[in-house]
Amino acid sequence: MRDILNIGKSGMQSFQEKTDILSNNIANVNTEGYKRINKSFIELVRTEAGHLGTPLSEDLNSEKRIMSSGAKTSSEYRDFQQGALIQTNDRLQLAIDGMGYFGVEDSNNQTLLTRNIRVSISGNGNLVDQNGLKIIMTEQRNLSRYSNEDLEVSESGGIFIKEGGAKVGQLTLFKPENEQRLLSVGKGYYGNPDSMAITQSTGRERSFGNIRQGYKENSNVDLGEEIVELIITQRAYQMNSKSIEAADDMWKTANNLRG
Amino acid sequence: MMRALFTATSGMIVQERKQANVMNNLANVQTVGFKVEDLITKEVQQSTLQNRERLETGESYMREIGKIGFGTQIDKLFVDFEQGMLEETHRNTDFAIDGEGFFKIQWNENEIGYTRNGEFQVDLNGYLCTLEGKRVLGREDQPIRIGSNEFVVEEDGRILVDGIQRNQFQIVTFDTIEELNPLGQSVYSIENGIEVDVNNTKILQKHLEKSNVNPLEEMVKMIEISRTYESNQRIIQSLDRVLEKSVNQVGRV
Repeated sequence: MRDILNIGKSGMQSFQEKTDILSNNIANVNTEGYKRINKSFIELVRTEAGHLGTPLSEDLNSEKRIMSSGAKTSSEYRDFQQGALIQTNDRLQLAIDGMGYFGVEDSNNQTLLTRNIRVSISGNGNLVDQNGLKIIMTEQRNLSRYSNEDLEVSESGGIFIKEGGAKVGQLTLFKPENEQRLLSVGKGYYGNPDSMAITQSTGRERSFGNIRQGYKENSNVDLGEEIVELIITQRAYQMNSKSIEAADDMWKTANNLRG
Repeated sequence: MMRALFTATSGMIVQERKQANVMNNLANVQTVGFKVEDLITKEVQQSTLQNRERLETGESYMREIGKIGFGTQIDKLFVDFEQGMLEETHRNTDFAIDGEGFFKIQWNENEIGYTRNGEFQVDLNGYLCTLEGKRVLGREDQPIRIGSNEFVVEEDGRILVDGIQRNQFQIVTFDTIEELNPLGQSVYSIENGIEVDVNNTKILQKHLEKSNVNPLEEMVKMIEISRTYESNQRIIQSLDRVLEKSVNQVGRV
């Protein structure tokens, strides 16, 4: 009787975990560059019936795994589909229309990837993002004599000075071999913990995506989809709690054998 | 009398297993590629009752009274392989089989598993595997190596990376589909099964096959189970009362 209560428990627990994930997605529906998380369900491994004292017919091989044990959730994975690009009044805000990533260097000289950056010129003439991290680019000139307002970014990632049109840099875009292996490190940055191959865009920027100046990428959470999923999950949770109730009633019945 | 007690007990144990089965179906109502299961029960084989009687001459002989069954037992596990609903997703590594057939995966070193759960991922070495890390098999039962996450799968199962065919899903089915044994994780194995190629089956990329559990049916089954369980308990109770009478009242002076 105890093992069947555990089956219901495993179900409730999985749906609980799914609810956590869904709430996190819903809470981030307006977070720039947020990629929705998903979690899937997996049936648990089964056992044989032979040793449980269950009456089995002669035709049934007692090694057949007819005893099921419930469900669990898979590990989380992200849905890296592109979110909607939203126009902003900030001309220094850059987003990518395509599957590439911007690269920035953190304080340990590690490359972090991100989908949204707001460029500005730092004190020593580098191009940095909103958190002061150096943006990875080529053909870079010292920018200390220009101001932020002078910058103009082309669709292919070239950085120009508005007056005169001099090219002062070229943004490098990155494409990881397998996005699922990126690790979110917060603030919309992704690290590369198991150093997988990441291709750089040098010379073929367009195939990595078009840069949109004055745009930011919103989260790719579809609120409708999440809410529907949430309703289904809650109902499934409820159903599993009912099944535990029923199993509990059965146990009670067994306990009342001697009235 | 004692025999009847065990008959009713077998009923209770079997109903408990059936409840476990329903609870597992309900826990997997959202599990990709899960197939609803049912425990089929049957009566324990009937025995013939005989009574020894004596003729007027004093000779004894056996008279057949009739047949009687002694309770119930689990006969088999029935898996309903009916196709679940296909749902569109955004992932490149999500696949659904529209039509009959199974994906082949390496369950363990020397066992091949069959599944309709096409929720795959690319592992660290670039192989296509299930969410639990079991590798998916392609042509000649070799694991499918893709490398990058960017690839296209045609409806006939051909896997294209940058437009070049890399491998092909091997989708097979069996004439004796009822012989498949569930291993868990929506994977099945078969002993002495002969793989048959499938016709008119389409592989859909960015789709998943949902569980085919019908919650309503399971809830009704659950009511049926708990009532049957209760009835069996009542039978034991009334047998207990009859026994009590024969022990405490019959023969009292």
